[in-house]
Amino acid sequence: MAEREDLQRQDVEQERRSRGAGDRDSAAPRSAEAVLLGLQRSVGNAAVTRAVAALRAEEDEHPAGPDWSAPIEPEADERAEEGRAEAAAVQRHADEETVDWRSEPVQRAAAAGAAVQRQGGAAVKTFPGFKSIRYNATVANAAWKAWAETLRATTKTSRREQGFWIQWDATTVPNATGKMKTVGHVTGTVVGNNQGATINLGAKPADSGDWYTVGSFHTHTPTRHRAVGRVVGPSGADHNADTSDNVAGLVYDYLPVKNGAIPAGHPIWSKAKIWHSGPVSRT
Amino acid sequence: MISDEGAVHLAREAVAGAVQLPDDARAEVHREDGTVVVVFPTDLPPGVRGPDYHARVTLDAASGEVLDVLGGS
Repeated sequence: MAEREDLQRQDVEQERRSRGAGDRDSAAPRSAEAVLLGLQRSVGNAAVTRAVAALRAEEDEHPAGPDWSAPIEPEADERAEEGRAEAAAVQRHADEETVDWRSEPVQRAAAAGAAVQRQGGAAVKTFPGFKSIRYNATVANAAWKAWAETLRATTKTSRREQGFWIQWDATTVPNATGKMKTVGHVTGTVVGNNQGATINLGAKPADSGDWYTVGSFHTHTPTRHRAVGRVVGPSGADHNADTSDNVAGLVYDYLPVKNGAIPAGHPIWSKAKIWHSGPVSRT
Repeated sequence: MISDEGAVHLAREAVAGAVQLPDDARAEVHREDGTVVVVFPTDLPPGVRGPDYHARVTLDAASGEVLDVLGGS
């Protein structure tokens, strides 16, 4: 009982800290469209105009915001206190997933529609890289939904991962505004809190028509009810699998607390991000 | 200074109840900066994404005191 009360106090403290961080993070919101329009004004590039149109179309098709239809964890006694932390986590997610075009080659946006480039006389397809995939609205929404479902599915005795493959439409730009979809959604084996969690995404979907498989995604699990902490971020096995599959790997996991790890009993709705695993992009 | 065998024994004791180790779990021992790190690696099938080890235990090389216990992801 004392341990449980201690964990509850930690959650309340974590929520208080995370709310403060959320306020700071949201001080300068920056939408992808606003940045693209800024580019358009400064360089007057027609390709940027097309990218803005594509982004607007994407937003119309996939309105932003998490899907709250995911299953709710059955622990009502914890839901009340963690609900507030969840709201703060949603805000942080929205801030994190804001596109920062300064980190993407501007040439990629300027080369809208030119997914196939010529190098040494041979046609070489340019695939979207990790950041482009991560910031794609469709992928970001699916990733957040999977992460939230993973957290909600965590109980005092069990937890499991979720994952999917990511495909890109080669008739669109190879950056965040290109058209992407998530396929092959799977849930990992349910494991006890004294076991490591794994997930098998199955065979990489074959390319089909203009759709190319360019990424994989999976979640890691909380230590909220575990007796041990763990290192965060992709494992060596994650890296090897993504390298073998020749895809950019995305892993939703917590930010480290100390020495690259989170402790046992880490609050469920603590700050997290999408980590990179394997190659930067498919080749 | 604790031996490798002693370190593995202490590491198994440290994770008992907290991490389920397979009966045939291997142990790897590394020494660094006055500590002994005992790792119980996993054997995942190809293509499976998961942790690299069941548990990673850090002990004081002189006293054998358990300094840290980490599980797999």
